[in-house]
Amino acid sequence: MNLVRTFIVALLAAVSILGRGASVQESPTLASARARWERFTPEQKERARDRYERFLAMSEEEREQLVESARRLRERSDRVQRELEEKRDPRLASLDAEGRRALVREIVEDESRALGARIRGELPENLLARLESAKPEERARFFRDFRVQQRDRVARFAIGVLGKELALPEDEIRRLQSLPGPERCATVLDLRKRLSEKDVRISGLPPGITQEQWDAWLELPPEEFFVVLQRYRESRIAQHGRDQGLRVLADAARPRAEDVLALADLAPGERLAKVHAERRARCTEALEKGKLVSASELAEIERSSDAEFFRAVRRLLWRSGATELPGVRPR
Amino acid sequence: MRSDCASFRAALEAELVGKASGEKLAWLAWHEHLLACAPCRELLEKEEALETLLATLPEPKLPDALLRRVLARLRRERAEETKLEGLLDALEEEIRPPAGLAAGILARVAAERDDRLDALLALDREVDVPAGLAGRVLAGLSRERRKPRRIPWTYAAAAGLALVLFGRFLWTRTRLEAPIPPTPNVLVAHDETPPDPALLASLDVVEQWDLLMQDDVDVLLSTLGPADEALLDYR
Repeated sequence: MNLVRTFIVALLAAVSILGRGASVQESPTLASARARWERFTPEQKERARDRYERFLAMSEEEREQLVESARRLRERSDRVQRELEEKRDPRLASLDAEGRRALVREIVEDESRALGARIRGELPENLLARLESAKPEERARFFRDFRVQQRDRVARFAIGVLGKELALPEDEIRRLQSLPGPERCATVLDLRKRLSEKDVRISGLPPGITQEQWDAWLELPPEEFFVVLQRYRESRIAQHGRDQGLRVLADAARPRAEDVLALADLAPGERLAKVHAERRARCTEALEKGKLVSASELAEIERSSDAEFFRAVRRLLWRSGATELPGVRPR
Repeated sequence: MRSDCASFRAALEAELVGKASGEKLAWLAWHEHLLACAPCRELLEKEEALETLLATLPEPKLPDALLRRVLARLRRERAEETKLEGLLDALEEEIRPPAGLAAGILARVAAERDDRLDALLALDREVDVPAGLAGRVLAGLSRERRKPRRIPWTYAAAAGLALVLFGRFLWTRTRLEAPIPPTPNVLVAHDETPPDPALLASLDVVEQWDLLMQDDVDVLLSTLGPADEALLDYR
């Protein structure tokens, strides 16, 4: 009898443990990563392991920032991939899987450089100098420190400014300012959205936007609302900048996935060089014809590298093209 | 507490060690310190009252029936010792232990047992034990002893199985959830080694490595999140 009882207990324990073990499923993210890993060639796997070891050797702060940055690049990459697939371009269909991935990588890199150049124009000079003089492994830590400091000090100030514009009670402003860092940061976006809503109620819809579009934007969470407005702001600069010259330059400097796709049959390095050369030529022409810089300044930026050249163009566009539009004012 | 209080209480404590009695404490009542110290007088009175109370309690005693059984049991065990002595004698023939070893051991065992028995018998006075308790205790002990000495191999098998399953469960969990292993060198041992889950969890970083680690910092800057980017307007 005791023997039977013992076996029943053991059986129940085994079923329970096996059941628990079976219920541990891979997350979709991990399953996707495993699928990507399986596609790697042996050389790529070896390289990946080498990089991973370097990653492990970094400090916790550096790794945390790199994981965050890589996640954003991955999201950007997924979006570009979706947009390309929606185009159903025959040139894309003719490429093999690796060729398509290379194309996506180039477009993402191009877009990222353009976005980074714009953000660079808004960063304090001392941070930029520090980032550029640091080793690549250390940059992530400096970048993270900057973000933490922003979320601490700048976010409190921003909540104070936005709260006053929204006529929030002092107690409420103080409460929002005392929230933990990430929540405080999210609050800034929420207040900005509420301020845009208020602006539109008072001054009317942003130019070119229908009520339906605006209502759909308002349905978005604050973070996505901010991204949509940033894109709108950039498109307004390109289409309705203060003068014709700036509009032409904005259009010339815009990274275009179609340019990369048009050269799909070239090798990646060759394709990127050609895309950059064509864009640079368009920008130089726009700078010259629009008389946006002096002859000496133009000569100086023409001598610079591609990265420096496009950075100078981005900075010029963003600083001179900012317009006061209802609902999209930065402050 | 005053120093003379401490001295008096030390004397009191010395008398209380061991088996105190009212008579032993009586001389302390004449201690000079008590003339001027009410708390110590009170303390001594309490101790005397306690000793008097303890003296009135009955001494413990085993019931006659239990006493007879204990003595009978001891006699049987002594007989077994005699058998042990015979066995040791036989062994002595074989292995020739030092002369007098067995006798020494037996004498020592017997002396210790006698001492314990004497102590036990000294307690044999008047303790009221419920009728039949000893019989029930001995019967229970007897049943326990009669149970076959079973090696619980079933328990051992169940425990082994549970351990194996638990180990498998832990291994699975570790494989799927381990954040970052402390010893990455294993990863480069063989190309066909299955990737560590922690590597897979960081695959985004590994794949975007060239972009994130290049000299130009613009790509890194482009990864500033919307909320952080919004804050740039307020710097």
